[in-house]
Amino acid sequence: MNGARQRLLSTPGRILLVSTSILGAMAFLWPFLVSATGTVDSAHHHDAPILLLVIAPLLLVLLAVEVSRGRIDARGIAVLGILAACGTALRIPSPGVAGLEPLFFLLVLAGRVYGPGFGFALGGLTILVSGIATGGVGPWLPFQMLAAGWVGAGAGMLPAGTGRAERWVLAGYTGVACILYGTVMNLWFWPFGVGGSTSISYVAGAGLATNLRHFIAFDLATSLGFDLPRAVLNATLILLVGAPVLVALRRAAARTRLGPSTEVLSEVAEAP
Amino acid sequence: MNREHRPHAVAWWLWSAGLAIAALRTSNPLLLLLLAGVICVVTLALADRTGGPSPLGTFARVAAIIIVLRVVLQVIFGQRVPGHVLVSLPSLPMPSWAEGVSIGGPVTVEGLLSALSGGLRLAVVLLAFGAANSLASPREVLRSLPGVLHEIAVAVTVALCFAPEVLASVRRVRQARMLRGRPTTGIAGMRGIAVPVLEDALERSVQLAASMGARGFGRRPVVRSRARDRGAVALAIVGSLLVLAGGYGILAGSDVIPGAAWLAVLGVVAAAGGVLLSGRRAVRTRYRPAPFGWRSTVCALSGWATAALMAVAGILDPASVTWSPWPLSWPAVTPLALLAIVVGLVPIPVALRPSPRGSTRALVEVGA
Amino acid sequence: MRRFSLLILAAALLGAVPGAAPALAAGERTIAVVVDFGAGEGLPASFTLCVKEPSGATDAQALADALTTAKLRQSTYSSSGLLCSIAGYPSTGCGVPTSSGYSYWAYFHGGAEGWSYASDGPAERTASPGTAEGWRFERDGRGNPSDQVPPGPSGPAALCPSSTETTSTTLPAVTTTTEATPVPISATASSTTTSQPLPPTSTTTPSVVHEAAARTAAAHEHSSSPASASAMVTVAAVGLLAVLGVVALVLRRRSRA
Repeated sequence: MNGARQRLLSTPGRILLVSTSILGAMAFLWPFLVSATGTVDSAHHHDAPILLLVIAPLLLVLLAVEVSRGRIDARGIAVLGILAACGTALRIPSPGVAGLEPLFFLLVLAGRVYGPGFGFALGGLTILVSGIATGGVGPWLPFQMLAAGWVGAGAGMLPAGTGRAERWVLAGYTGVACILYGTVMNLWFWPFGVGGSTSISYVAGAGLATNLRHFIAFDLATSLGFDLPRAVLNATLILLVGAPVLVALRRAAARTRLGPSTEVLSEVAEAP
Repeated sequence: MNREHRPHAVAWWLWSAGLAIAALRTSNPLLLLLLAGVICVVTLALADRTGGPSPLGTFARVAAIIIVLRVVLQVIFGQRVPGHVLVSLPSLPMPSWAEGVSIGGPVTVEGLLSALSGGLRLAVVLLAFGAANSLASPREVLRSLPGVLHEIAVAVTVALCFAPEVLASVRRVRQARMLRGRPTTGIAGMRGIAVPVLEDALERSVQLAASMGARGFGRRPVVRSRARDRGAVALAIVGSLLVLAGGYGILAGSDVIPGAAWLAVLGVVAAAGGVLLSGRRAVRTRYRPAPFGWRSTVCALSGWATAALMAVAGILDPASVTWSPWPLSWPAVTPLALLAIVVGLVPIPVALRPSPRGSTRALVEVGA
Repeated sequence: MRRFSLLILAAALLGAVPGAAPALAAGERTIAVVVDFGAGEGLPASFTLCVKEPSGATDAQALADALTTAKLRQSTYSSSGLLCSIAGYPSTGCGVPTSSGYSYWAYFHGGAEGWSYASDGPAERTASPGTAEGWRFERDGRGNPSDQVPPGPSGPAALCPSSTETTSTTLPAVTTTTEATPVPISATASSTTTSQPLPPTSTTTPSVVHEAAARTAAAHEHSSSPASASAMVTVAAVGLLAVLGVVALVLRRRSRA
């Protein structure tokens, strides 16, 4: 791997990223965690959305503070902002096309080149910016930001490789990540989006197996038909257009690394 | 028109959050419809209608889709809740691994009403978000972010400014390719357009970084204290762990983790403390800061008063804010819940700008 | 949000699939309905009623018929379909957390080998012949299968000894079995039991339940505000809704102009 990786986060920052990611995962997975204990508590059931609407933005603020506080400099900000603008441009014309967002294609490649911390920041920022640009800041935004951040961070953590093998790994990862992204966003919506009176609802206290079955049925019924084409589109784009985009991103990364420095330099982790 | 007469952007988001929380605390369709009415009237009366279509319309459409989705799911996967059968759909046999999932079967009046009122609740929450987006653009909220988040706010601003330029760049490259007779659609077109646009954008980012660096961006005004940095991060981590434990406790029941709500509150305070502590360093000045005056305070308080009154009404008499179609009955409203709704209308007399025509005077009387 | 349109499409497809409903055998089945109030507030411990249901009826229907037969208040459900009260008990709350647990109506399926905690709702199950369905009010339960089961036998044969008989009547027939202190059977219960001979031990009385439930219900209604004032507030709310709607329409038209 010859890409220069910008480290946006210090060591405590990375601990914070991991701990808040675990917290974010809990925010998504609470129906399963709570049903594993087998207690019914419908009285607090309706508190869940309020709780999540507080916790998810809090996590993002924590992470944003950490990124701001860390080693980000003018070049990091500029690249982050411009790539987020490109991602937004990829998202804006496509809302009519059945959720076929080619955003993940850019996000995965940028995360690959610039590393997990940058990938996380880019994923979250792109979603935020497109939400602001379209006036669509809804309750789903923090969850989309977290999930897209994970997609970007995951791309930065893929094993080293070059050429054709790298592209196939990236394409495979993109396909899986796209489907997981859709599933995770369903998971957020499911417990209170469907109500309690259907056979695919979240049932408080019904146990893990029942709730898993209900969720899988909900996912199959509502969104897999959109997640699959999106996964295929993004993976195909990586296979066919990935190589020149990777070259362009790496060239830019190398130029930012070699440019005249301001006070806090973005650290460059040498690839093994 | 004077900007100072408008409440602060953050005040509008706080007001909307209050109404959304009030909606989440009730399942009474009459109260939910009243909340929706309050949200629409306040937004239509007070939103700045200078630019483009109102986000409220977009959110209203999404809300309508959600209500339809709820009803459709109820019809297909109706759990055969008891009640008066309206029509009986053929039911599909399910494989053994999908035990408990049923498709088809009788559709009951009660089940449909339950789906409608549940969908209405989500719809009101979405309308509240739509109102916030219409009353105060998220860009204005961005201006009020604390100094700690300065760098992120700059990145967002950069992205917001450059997104239209990227689109223009796409148009340019596409036009150039069309003139040369190269493909502009499909994979080949994508490849031919994406790479030059991206290279162009990355080139701009290098220029932007140079100009930002030349203007002193990224320089730290104060020497950083490592001990305090570590303390701030530790506080934030401990805070988020406490929020985790408390949130889990609240959802799983009081006996799993005692005092869960207090743990969660403590966690939020600790995390916020961590954020503030690490932000002490950052001293930034603002260009034309927007004042958070008494109008803003009243608007924000009005939304939260609605939420608080609704919660109190629910605690005093749970039956007054909840409604269930079993048995079928007309939803009743208590005076306290009605007061909660009326309090949500307070921003209209407070924030309505005096109109030269004087026609808004009548509006205030109707609205209040 | 656009994914929902696919869902609607899926709904249309599913609707078009010809009926593959399980063909239920014609004829009625006897279901033993056991309701245990968990010994509280002057209520009897429990009562058992055997009802006859047409094929395809759900267990919720069986419970409803049993309550109708006993002239008791119908059960209420929350907006998610959770069973809140049976025979008007408890008068408030639906699955209320207590200091150390959870107070709610637990639901059990009875078989020859005992009671088993139900993981589904009574409205989800089509009543199968010769089953027993039990509800027990858990005053301080856990909300899981460790909760206390209804007392007495769980086998339908033991609860409804004459369950193999079928009668042509469409009205649900009732037998009563002894559970609590022997009290002379009330007219309300006996009037509906004509189609079947009473088992030798049958003595209890839904009427005791009836009176107690009526008492709790009356107490609840008395405690709430007078009906006319409450109706006036509701009318005011509807009026406010109408005003808001008109104002919103006027404002919308003005903003478009």
